[in-house]
Amino acid sequence: MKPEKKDNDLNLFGQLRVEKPEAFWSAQRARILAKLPERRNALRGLPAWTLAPAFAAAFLLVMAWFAQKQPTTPSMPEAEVQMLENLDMLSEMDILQKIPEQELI
Amino acid sequence: MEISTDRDQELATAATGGDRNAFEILMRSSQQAVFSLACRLTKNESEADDITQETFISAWKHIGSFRGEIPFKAWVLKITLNKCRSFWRWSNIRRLVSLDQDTDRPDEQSLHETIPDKNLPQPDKAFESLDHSEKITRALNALSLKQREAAILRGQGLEIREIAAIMKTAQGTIKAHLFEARRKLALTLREGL
Repeated sequence: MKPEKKDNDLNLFGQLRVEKPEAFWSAQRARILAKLPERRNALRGLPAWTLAPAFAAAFLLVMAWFAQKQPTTPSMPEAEVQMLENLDMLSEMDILQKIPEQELI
Repeated sequence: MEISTDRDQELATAATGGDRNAFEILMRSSQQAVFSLACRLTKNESEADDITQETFISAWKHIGSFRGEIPFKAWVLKITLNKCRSFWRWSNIRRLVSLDQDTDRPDEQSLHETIPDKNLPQPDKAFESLDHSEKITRALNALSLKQREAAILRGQGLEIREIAAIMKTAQGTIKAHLFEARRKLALTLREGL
């Protein structure tokens, strides 16, 4: 469209614009800005694939945590160890007693 | 205030991150156009104010989908036009079920009054005594709805292709609407082109 035609259109159709004082526009903007909801987070609007590395890292962390929580064989209490050693000694003593005295000399 | 599409995109990106100042700059550039479109289509300043608010709140919520292919003003006017059409549909339904018979705004012009009436005589003397805004209202009544939408959008300085995108209509059809609107408005407002 030729520029002069556009100018003519603006002259004619421009009369359909609603003119108001600046105070009106400022007050309207203030009302609108007050009603704008807060953004939930700054990530809104980003493509979903940009979150993939974050999900992968979170997954690895969870796996590592579960691995640490694997049940290990409980260590034996010291008293039990001592008791077993004593039993061994006793059994060895039995063997010694069963050997004929002559064989020991 | 005219701002480039690249600048619109930068501001929109900032607004997506929650920058209200950036959004306010965008709003300033299109506020008058949005309100004018709503006001001329609904013929009610209070409704136009509500539609303007709803439009910008909706734009804020969906600013992430603005790609900068068209200026922000055209993008936001598209939202406005959709909201105005919804308003018309609801008004029409309300009128059909006669719920608006006892409206608390008796001076409000109802939908059927906005339909052009070719048989209505408009004496010249009476017309000259009207103030400018009444003349504009009468002139708009002489237009069909599509001609009216195209004319108001053109009055905001939009290109034909932008109007076509907003109204989802072929550019040739928009030119035809504007041709008719130009002829009728010039005749009604008694202004030459």
